[in-house]
Amino acid sequence: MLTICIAILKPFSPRLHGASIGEEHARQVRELIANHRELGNLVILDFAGVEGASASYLKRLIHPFFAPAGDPDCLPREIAPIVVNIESPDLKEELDDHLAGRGHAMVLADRNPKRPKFRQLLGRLDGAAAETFRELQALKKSTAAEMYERHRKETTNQTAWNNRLVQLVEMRIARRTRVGRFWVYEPIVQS
Amino acid sequence: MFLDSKDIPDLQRLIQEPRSGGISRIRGADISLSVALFLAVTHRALWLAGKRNAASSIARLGLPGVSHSVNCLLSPQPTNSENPLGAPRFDLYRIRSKQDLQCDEWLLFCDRFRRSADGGRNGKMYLGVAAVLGEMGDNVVWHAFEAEDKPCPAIAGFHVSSGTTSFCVADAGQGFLKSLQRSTKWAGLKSDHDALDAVVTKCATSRPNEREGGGFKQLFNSLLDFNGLVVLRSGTSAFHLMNKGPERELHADNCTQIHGSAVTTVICESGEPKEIPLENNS
Repeated sequence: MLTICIAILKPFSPRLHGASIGEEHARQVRELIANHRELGNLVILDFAGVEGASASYLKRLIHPFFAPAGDPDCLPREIAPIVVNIESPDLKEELDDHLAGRGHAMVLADRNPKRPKFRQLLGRLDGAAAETFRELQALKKSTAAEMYERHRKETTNQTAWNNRLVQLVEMRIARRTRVGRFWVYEPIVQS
Repeated sequence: MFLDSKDIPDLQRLIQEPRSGGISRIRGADISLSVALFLAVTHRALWLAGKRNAASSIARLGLPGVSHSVNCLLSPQPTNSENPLGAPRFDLYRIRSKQDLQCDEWLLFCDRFRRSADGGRNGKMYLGVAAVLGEMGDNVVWHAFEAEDKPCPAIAGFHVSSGTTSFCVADAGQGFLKSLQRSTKWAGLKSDHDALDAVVTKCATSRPNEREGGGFKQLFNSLLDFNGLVVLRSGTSAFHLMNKGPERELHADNCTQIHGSAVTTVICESGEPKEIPLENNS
């Protein structure tokens, strides 16, 4: 787990605007992640002290987390970002709109001394993905087979659940670990 | 004689016609921020093009704000503010590279504008307005420059006086049309007028993978509501947008070809928003 306080990035102002500053902050974020040697792939973007940010700034800042494979800025898929300390309604709305407009989602968490705690999802998940994410949150950990067993009447096969869970991993709001023959999925932040 | 952004096409003609007295005919005139920045950017562009006499004729006018703006464009530092945390009535920032916008000085400049415009009231209104200035300045390196290694003279400035707040970002870059034509969505645009219309009415942007230009959307959504006037100029076209009661009025001018582009915003606390003259000590 790596916490990056936006306020320590240079240059800084409580109101961040412009793609140029977003791009520079994204570069510093990528550098901090690359230099981080501890285990764990959760990256906490801490917005304490940020009162506002424009769409152009946010787009550049979070671009590396959602860039397609092959993009030079792209971070490994295992790196999962969450945001904390978004207290300004304007900032929350701006980030929510930005993510929703691109079909992305990001966890807004409460900052706990040990582990962050899920507060809400910003952005957009389509119906099936949202349903799967809710289910995974309720179960805390699950496999596609378990999900299929629980919803045998509603879905025709296990592959559908598998695809949905993989989609959550690709969206970086869930992670998976291999246990024997199965992939075990869990939300990146527990509620 | 007071010259504001509406007079810029005539000024351009005077600069191009030195035989009839040229630009010296406006000596002693009062000018707005947008005219000062236009003249400074033109001076720099002429100088870089080797037209030293024409450039000098602008510098010799001694008009308010022009010498400061010319010097700012020449300066190795983007800003020469003596008090970075102050609240000056008139201030300038030169934009020559992306790095000029990725430093504390740029954020401090935007914050000086906010403080000056806010006048110590600690209101929220100018937080948004200063953010728009930040976005407009940022647009220069992404849209006015042909490429990151092909910069152009560009400058941002603000002026606060007698209940009127204005800021302007002017450049000698490629203009809205060429910038938008880089996007496949807007490649079919034919004229400067069409390009400005696409920006104003369709929030067009040349940024790949973006549906809307966020900066201008913010500009139109917020500033006009604050009893504001927005003037966009690019190539042969200029759009003047203003609130007239419940409706927004758009007035489009076609004019002689002018290099680069400019965004000017004026906010008046009361009455019709109008550009105002710079003080003689600007």
